[in-house]
Amino acid sequence: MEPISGCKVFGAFKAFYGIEGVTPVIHGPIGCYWGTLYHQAAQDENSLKATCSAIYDRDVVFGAEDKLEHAIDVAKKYYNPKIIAILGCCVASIIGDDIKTVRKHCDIPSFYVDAAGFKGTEWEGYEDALLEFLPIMKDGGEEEGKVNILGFDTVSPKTRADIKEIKRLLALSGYEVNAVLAVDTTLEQIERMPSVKKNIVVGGYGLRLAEAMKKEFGTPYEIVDAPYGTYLTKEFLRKVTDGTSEYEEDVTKSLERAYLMIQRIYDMPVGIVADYARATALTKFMEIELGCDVVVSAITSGSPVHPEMDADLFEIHNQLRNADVRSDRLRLILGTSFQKRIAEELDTALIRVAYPAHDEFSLYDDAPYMGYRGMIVLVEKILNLFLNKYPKEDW
Amino acid sequence: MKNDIRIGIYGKGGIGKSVTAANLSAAFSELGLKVLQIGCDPKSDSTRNVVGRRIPTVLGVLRERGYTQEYELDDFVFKGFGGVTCVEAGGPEPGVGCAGRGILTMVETLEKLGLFEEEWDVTIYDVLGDVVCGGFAVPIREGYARTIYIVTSGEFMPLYAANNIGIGIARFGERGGARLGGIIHNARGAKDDAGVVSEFAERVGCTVIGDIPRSDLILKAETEMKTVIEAYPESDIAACFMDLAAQILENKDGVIPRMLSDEEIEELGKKIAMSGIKA
Repeated sequence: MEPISGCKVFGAFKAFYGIEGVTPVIHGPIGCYWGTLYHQAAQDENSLKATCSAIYDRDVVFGAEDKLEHAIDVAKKYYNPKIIAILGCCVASIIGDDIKTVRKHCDIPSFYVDAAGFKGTEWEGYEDALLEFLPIMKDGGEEEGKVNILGFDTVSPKTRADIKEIKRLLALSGYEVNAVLAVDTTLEQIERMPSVKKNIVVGGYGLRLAEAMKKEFGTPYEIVDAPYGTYLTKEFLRKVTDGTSEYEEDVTKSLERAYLMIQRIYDMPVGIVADYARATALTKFMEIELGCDVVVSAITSGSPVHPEMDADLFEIHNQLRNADVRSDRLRLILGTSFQKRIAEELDTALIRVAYPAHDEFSLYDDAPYMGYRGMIVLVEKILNLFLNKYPKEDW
Repeated sequence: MKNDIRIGIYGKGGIGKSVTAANLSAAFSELGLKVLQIGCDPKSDSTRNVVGRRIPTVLGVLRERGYTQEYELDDFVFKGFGGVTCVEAGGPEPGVGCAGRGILTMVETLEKLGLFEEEWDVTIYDVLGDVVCGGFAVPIREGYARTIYIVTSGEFMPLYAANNIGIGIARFGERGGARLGGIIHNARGAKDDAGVVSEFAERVGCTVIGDIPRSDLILKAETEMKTVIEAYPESDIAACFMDLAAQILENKDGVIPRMLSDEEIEELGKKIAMSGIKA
């Protein structure tokens, strides 16, 4: 048993960390704190802006509420937050610390998620954390042409670039994005979330909040595939704008320059290992548009639309090994940092497309993987990887 | 040759475990034995009547002076009546923290300081009301106590608790942990039916090793922070504890009990209720 789904606290942290003015306070032993920050590090070093109550033996026996109060004071002193987000880890949950009372005595507003690892996996932490935003939302009537995007975080590779591309395409379609959960969004934008035309739930992530907002404010929502490639991007724009915009960009002009090379990746065996949103969309993109043979499509983390998915790392890697034997040869894995070794073992190219990607930065925010531009970037990356990785082969 | 008898006293809260444990310690010391009594209950009054006062607790000292300080055994152990060595685990106030983890911390701390390496004739663990979690099962599980005695009256709830404790003992007994030494019947009133306790003991496969009658002297001694062995050594009740101590010394083998099912224990409850109505 080697689960690949992250801990519930990681998911809750991702959701809170992307909101300006919110400082996470991890109420648990230092391992929870380090583990959480480690997985954020390569995508956003700013995520070190969090504090930890650092529970030790004394606190387990006598209760750790005083330590939590101290961690909140430190967060207030150093990060000047508007709201504190308390993430209760396993120990706090087991010993039953009275966090409700700590919050009541705290002179700053707070969110709280019981993020104990035994209470759920990463995506559930993300969903629970987003639900905490509901009470601060204000119903102000619909603003024309605005939408919220749900299902993103600051720690998946290319997130900021993908969001930038989505915003660009929506602007060209006459739409404006209010809040992106949870990437570089302000508390004011969250307050205004019910005033949009609809919530866009990418790949099903954020669905629980979208459902709650529909019930509370009547805000409609739409579940869409992550927009990889021209087909899914067009679909994305059509769904978001209710068919009023079918904005298209001609990517062939760029891709034509490598036309013969692109032909060579038809039928090529590919493995995809990613979260539910990315794995399902990338599988469609690779099969429909690039004509690849996706021999493994593994999902690392379930989602509200498919909660039962709970993957095992060794099992996924065995699938990749078997695929390598069965198929012509596994040429490419679109995966996470955890596929680094198996890619090396199978001498296969690896592109990190999903969280966790702690050994690769995504600094240039104009080079997305999603949207029309993303298609060109992704194809360019695949081709260059092949040309450099397999120099002796007949390309 | 040391006796090296290690026993655990379990039972429902308020049933008289601490009174039993303290008087047993005093009785063993009267027999010339080297005794260690460890109170494993956050309310930390197990050894009060042996020492004549409440002693500082292991967890209290650790909390106050810090977990990483250097300690000596004298920081945690205190001498009481007849040279009995006393330790109180201590623990959090009701409703906070994890008292079970506290028991583990206490055991680890004392182990590090070599308390268990000393040669004790008798070691008595007096453990909180029920085996509520893994921490309170440590004395049963880790070989600290080899034989467990359950204190109960003839009322339904203490017997129900006794049955639950027995389930814990059976589980660990099968893995090489402590065995059930027997039942100590602590009569709580005139209506208390020793017959029910005997029947319970027989059905689970053990014996009633001692009958402690209700005695005002116990309460009286308690107000003086003493055991009856110390305060009223000539009394019948003191003799009763002396007998119990002698029985325990003789009783080398325990059993893996076959505890009652929910239906069986409910049946016993009905029987107790009916006999109460008749009386």
